[in-house]
Amino acid sequence: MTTPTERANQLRGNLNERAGGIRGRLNARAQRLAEGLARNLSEIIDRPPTPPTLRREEPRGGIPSARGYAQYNYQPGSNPGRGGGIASPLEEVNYGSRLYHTNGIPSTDGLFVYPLLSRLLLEDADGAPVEIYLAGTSAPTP
Amino acid sequence: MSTETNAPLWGCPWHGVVRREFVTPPPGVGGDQYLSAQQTLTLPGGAEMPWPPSSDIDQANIAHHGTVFMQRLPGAAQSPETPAEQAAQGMAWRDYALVAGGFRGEVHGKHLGARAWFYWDADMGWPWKLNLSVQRVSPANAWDFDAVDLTVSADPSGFVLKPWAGLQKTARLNVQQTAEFSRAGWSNGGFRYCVVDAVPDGSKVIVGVYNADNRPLRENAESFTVNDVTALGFWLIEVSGTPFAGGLNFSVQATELATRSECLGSVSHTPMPTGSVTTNVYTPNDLQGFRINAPPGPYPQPSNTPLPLVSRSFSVTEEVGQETRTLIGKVVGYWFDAQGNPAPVVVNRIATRQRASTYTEQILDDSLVMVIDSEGATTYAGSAEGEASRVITETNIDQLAVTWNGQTLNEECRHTRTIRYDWHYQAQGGYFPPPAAPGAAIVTYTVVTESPAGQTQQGPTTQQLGSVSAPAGLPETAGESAGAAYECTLDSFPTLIRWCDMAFGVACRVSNTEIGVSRVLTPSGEKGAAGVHPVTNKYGAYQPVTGQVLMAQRHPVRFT
Repeated sequence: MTTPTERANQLRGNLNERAGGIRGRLNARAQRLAEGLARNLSEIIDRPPTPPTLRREEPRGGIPSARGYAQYNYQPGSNPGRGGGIASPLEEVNYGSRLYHTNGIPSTDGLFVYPLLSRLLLEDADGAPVEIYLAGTSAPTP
Repeated sequence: MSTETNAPLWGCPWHGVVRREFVTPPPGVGGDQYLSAQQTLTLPGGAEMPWPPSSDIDQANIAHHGTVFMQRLPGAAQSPETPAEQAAQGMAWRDYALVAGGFRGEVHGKHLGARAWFYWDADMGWPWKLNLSVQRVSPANAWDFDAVDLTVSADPSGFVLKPWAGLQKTARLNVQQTAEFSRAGWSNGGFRYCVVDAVPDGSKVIVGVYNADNRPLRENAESFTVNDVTALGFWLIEVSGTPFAGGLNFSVQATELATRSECLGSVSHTPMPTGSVTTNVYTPNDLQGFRINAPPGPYPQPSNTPLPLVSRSFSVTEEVGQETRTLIGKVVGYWFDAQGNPAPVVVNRIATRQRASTYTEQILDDSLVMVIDSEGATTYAGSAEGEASRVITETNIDQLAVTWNGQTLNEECRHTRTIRYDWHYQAQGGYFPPPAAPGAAIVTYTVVTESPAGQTQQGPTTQQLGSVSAPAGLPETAGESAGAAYECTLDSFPTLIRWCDMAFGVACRVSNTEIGVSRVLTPSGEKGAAGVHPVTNKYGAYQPVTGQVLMAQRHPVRFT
């Protein structure tokens, strides 16, 4: 009765023999192919080589048009009819459409209150509106 | 959110009347109340809210507490909107702010420093806080000097992105310091320089120079304590250019608007002349007035001898005519008109005392006869009856007119004191009755007072002539009450009172506990209502935009 170790060693030996036979046949075949290739090259060596060409790429245009938007509740993508993103550049078309916070920002000496922008209304490259809402400040105190 | 433009709002959104509070002194400390720094704002609707404590807690600065001037900066929002949620809280943004002038400078409770105002730098489109300091040049003493250095320092307002090194400009002003007015009693005081008015963009301000004779702040019924600061002069300061870039383009110019002698002066006095008047005085020791003219004896027995009644009126030399004291054209204030030109507030004061005496008499019955019978007994028949009256009228008229830019507030106090003597002689048993006899000699006093407090009358009070004494409260003569444009003391004659630097009125005492006050003259005309108030109500204020005026307030007040 042979032990598992003895059996494994026997199988490993068999495999090594078979691998050696296969490797020898492959080397002989490669040798034949190399010799054939050398012959073929020697036959065509007088003709100029033809430069390779790339396949012409079909025009695909820009990124598919889509309207960028922001919901007041900051829930993106709630409009299933729109998609994609904001097309740069963004442009403010109407200065008068700006909105300001009720509570502006006080000057350092507290004697002036400067308007603090609360909403900026822009248009992207496709003419789609883009609204930006900015955070405000606290109410004035005496 | 609002759709306001990007111009900044100027001032603050709370407007109303700021009232300084009093605190009651602790037990054992004299006086009634002290001023506190605590303040309350009363909004136009009547709601009250706490207001930041005042910066001018020094009682010496309370004299000009109610003075504010309007500043409207071209770079600030010209048509500010007040969001609904702010309006619901009583806020209202306006296109102006009220700057508290006087000795201290404040904008809606925010302290700007001493003698401060705002200046809109049109060159750079920038707001500045300007402060003024005054330095007498080489004074011989604290009172005699002929030049001052007026230094204006500029600090940028709004957003300041880097430290400001500071900028000062000084203008030397030659001032006239001669005046006839006595400086007695003032040597322990000092000068006070106050910004009393400014044009909206702050390019021109008026500085008042005052005798800072402050009395204790405790409420004193004898004086208008906090407002007894007498004007000694007014100056105009004009600034232009920009303090930026080293202030090379920033200019300060000063002009003397009113000299000391234009503010103070001596009273022109025309004394009362004397004249001969007829009287008929009943005294216990002399049956003057009338006498029974018995012919010389001896009288036959029997006989009927008529005893005619003869007048014994006589003449005396007394004051009769008119006495006048005048103080004309004295400058007590200076305000800008709507075009930004300074115009003086001038007081004319004329006090007259007129005295007249009239005497009348008549014989009602002259049928007295002495009857001597054959046995020598004497009886009388018929009657001797005469009566006489003397009326002395003394009228004190104290007129005070405050004029500014063609508008005049005229107030007058008129005291008419009438003393009427009535004698009634009727022989009884051949003789006149003793002086104490009822109706023999009586005196009637009547005093009618017409003043800003209204008309009052004392009397008629009738007394036996033998025990005459003036009724309580009988006004004395005007005396020296017209000695100066201002009065520190309150009496029954009118006193000019400055409720604040833009509201001048007249006050007089009604009683120990009450004063009568007139309407007031302001840059927008006559305002307020005459009335009677407790004597402790000495504070007032003026709102230069709406024309509202407060006077005779118990608490120091200021519009904001």
